[in-house]
Amino acid sequence: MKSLHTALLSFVIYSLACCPAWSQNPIIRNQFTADPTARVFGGRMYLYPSHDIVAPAGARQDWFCMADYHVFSSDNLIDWTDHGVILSQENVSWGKPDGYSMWAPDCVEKDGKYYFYFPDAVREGRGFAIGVAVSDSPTGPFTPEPQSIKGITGIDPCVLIDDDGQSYIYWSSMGIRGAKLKSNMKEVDGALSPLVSPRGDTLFVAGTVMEGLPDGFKEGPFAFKRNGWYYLTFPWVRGKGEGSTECLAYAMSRQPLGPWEFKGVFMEEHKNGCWTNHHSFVEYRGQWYLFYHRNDLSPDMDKRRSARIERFTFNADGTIPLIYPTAHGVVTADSVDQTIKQRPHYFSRVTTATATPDSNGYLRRWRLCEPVAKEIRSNTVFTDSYLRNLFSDELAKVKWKGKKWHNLDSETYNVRLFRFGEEYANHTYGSLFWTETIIECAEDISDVRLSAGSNGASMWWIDGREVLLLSGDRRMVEDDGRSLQLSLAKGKHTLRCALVNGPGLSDFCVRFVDEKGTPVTNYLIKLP
Amino acid sequence: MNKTFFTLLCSLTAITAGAQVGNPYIHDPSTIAECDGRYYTFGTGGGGLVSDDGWVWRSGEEMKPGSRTSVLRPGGGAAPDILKLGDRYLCIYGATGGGLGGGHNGRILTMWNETLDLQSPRFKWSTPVVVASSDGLEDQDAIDPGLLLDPTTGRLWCSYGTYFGSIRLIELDPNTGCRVNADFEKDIAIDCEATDLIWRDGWYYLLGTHGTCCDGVNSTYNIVVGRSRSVEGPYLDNVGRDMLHGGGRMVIAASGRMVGAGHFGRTIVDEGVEVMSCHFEADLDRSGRSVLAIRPLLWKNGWPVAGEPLKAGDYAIISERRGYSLELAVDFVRMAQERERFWQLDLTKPLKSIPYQQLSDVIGSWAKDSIGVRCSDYMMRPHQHWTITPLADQPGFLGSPYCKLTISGSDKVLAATIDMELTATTFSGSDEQLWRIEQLTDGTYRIMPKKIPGTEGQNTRYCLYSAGDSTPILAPYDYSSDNSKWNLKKVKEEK
Repeated sequence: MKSLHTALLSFVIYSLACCPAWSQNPIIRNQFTADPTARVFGGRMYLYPSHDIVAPAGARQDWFCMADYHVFSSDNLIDWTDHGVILSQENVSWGKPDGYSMWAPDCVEKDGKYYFYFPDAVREGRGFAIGVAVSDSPTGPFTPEPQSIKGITGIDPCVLIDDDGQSYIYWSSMGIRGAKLKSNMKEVDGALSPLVSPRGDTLFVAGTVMEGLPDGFKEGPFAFKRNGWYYLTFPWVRGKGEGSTECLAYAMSRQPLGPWEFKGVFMEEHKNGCWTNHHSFVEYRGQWYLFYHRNDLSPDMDKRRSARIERFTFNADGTIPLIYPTAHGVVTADSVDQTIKQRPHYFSRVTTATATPDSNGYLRRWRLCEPVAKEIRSNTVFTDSYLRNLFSDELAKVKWKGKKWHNLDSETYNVRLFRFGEEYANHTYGSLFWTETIIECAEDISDVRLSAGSNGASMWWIDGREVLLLSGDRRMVEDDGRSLQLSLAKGKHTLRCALVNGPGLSDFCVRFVDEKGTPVTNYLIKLP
Repeated sequence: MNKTFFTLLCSLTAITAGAQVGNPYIHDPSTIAECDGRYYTFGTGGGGLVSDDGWVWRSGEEMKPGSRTSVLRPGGGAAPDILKLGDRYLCIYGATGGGLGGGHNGRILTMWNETLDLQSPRFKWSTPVVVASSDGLEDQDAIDPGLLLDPTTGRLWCSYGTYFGSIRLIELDPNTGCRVNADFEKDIAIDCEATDLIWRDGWYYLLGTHGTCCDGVNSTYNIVVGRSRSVEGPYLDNVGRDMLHGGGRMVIAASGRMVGAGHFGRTIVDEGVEVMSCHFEADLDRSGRSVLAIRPLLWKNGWPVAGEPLKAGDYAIISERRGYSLELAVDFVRMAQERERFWQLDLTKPLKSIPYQQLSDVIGSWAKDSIGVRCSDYMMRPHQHWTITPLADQPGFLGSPYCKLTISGSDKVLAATIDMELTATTFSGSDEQLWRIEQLTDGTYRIMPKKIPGTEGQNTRYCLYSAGDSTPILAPYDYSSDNSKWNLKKVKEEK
């Protein structure tokens, strides 16, 4: 059965010629992924979508069909890892084992436990309920509670944990409702109240209807907090006519459960007619993203949808701008391969005994010390005397601090210290770097100059003697400064550089040049 | 002129040294745009500046009292550029995390407006469109866009980026402002900010800002340039160094009372008349605020160099045609000298210093009313020395105030006549006595009366012109003719 699905999906996707080579959206292309809820746990982005499938024989063919949940994760929002099934309909004791109604979920973390909220068709009778499944990991396995959450009939759960630790749950059931959660995250806090359903049944339901939202069909609430504002965002059918479909709209409040002030639409109805849209907001590395869906991989059947992503920036007053679906998503409008996967590695570990300068004379093999953090607001403080004091003070410290040194080859002529610090020490701005290398001359090399440029101020020593100082707020300029003429006697010499930078993309390039300015290359580089 | 406005201007007369007057406070100014006779420039944040004459600037926000957000340009954003394309204005700007703590995931957006005049019913920005972005991880930050409409091909190019990685080149559609060929983008420089592309005489020039931004009077911001025969580079500096390796030749650094030049923009005023706009991070005469500056743009051996604002002082005005000096048509008064025969010098005799001829030595012989003006050999005489006085507190033209030209120490000022001739007469403040002095791209000057008596409106066509070596008149400006050009020689030592 599974292989058939895969084959069907492959066919569906193969037959699509709509996606330009450089587009990112939809973000997952080997299966359908609807209602994407994105959450960041431990610095990594996790995506909890619902899982549309091609309806198997016996199930309703023209309706949503969802039997389980997968979770995906990424640290660059480009490459997504599928961690497989985290919950299936047959494992939910209160749910209908062949209901195919595992609709939009959510997942939050509290005290090291991950709580996965999901709707399902109830085993007995009609309608939907919402359950909780718990795990020690964001990728599962999740163990569902034996009963659904008492007092919640409906779909599309979303949980908001406020700054004070109080949790709230929002869901869709004849409008959008919200309620406090108890600290066990599994029960609603507060009394149930009677509600007469359109069918005439009296239900006892939790929470209250969210006030202040516009008329018209609403579902899929996603609530979040930013800068003291609560945002309640939701798919909404604003049109009255026959062909009306969902747009995405929102309201804001200073209170987690409202009353809400309606603010308008942030994504318009899908132009291709896809009836639903469902979304989540997430901040990742200082940037806000909207996840949502459209039926890109199933153009003729809008019940099979695929997750998409857009980057956006809040308006200055906290309102959400109108966000447009794009093909390229969060990638620059060119190929993923070019910008992300072929990003330079900057450095590789030394694997050979000796190296030579490159054809332009640049030294690319270095022992690099993990950066020393320095709080520097402006690089104009880097005067000559400041640098001489700083470097003489710090070198002694670095030697006994036990900072780790790395023997590395630079992939580029300029040694990208910023990226070294990022990769090897998770430290970038406000850094003091120490680097050194050993050069071995087979013969005397006379009348040469050390020629360097650096982003950040730098100081250079040969065999412990200062030969060049680049002070002030420097940009990395090839041949920015040159040493006095010097001679390298046959044998080994230590070339050391200290470079300090506050707000800059630290790097340097250095070589030896002869009297005519021609690069010198007749020596070897040997790290101990 | 509005009286309040005039009072405001008078309070600023102490400011000299080339600052634009009014309230020219801006950071990251866009290339100056002209719309319906007004000048506009837009900076980071909501701010924009507007000017009726190009010399006196006011905040765009002043146009709508009480408004705290920009009425000229919506969306805030950073470091915009504006270019008129056909009947419309294309605005391109960055929306970014702002670097450092804010991340480097930026976006470049474009939008259109039919007018920059927000009083116009046609004033309405189109919905911004994203044309480039950076993902926050790569060595690039999509901010600081600059536009070039290539005059040789009609293609529209954009360079963007900042110190975080590369400066990148993309192509836009001049009809839509959208990206052309999303697969094309090329890195053309590193370690710059606020780049701008310009074209001149078969070369593409990439201007970028180096140094420290946003540190007030200690900002080391400066503008450098490289050039290429192809818009795609490589952009090399004057010693052949690629801007991808940090190369660049200085265009402008600190000067006068201004520190930290950044964000270049070029405006062609006329053939051979160009100005560059930028901001200085700090004006020492204005509490170290960031201000708009407009300087003459000179070209030396194919390289752009910023000229200096014209300083008040005493000058000889020398024709480029012959090298003759502009002077009053008065009698040549001989200077006294005890003569010695040069073949019979007595080398034991002490040497004497002969003073310059003084105005008081000669003025008695001058006519009391108008005096004619001509050119002759420069002899360091009082009737050849002109005091140039920039009238900073009055409306000017793009980048500069008009000047008064007075024979030093006298009441005689240079004036245009109804017959397209020149005269020297007493100063009345009328427009035919005010002079528009602009440094040309070759370093010489053109000198134009603000108004010619008997003609309507301001004069932008007729300049001081050498009809003969000795005969200056007013004639149409022609950059290809040395007759239109003059040199200004400081004469402090020769008086």
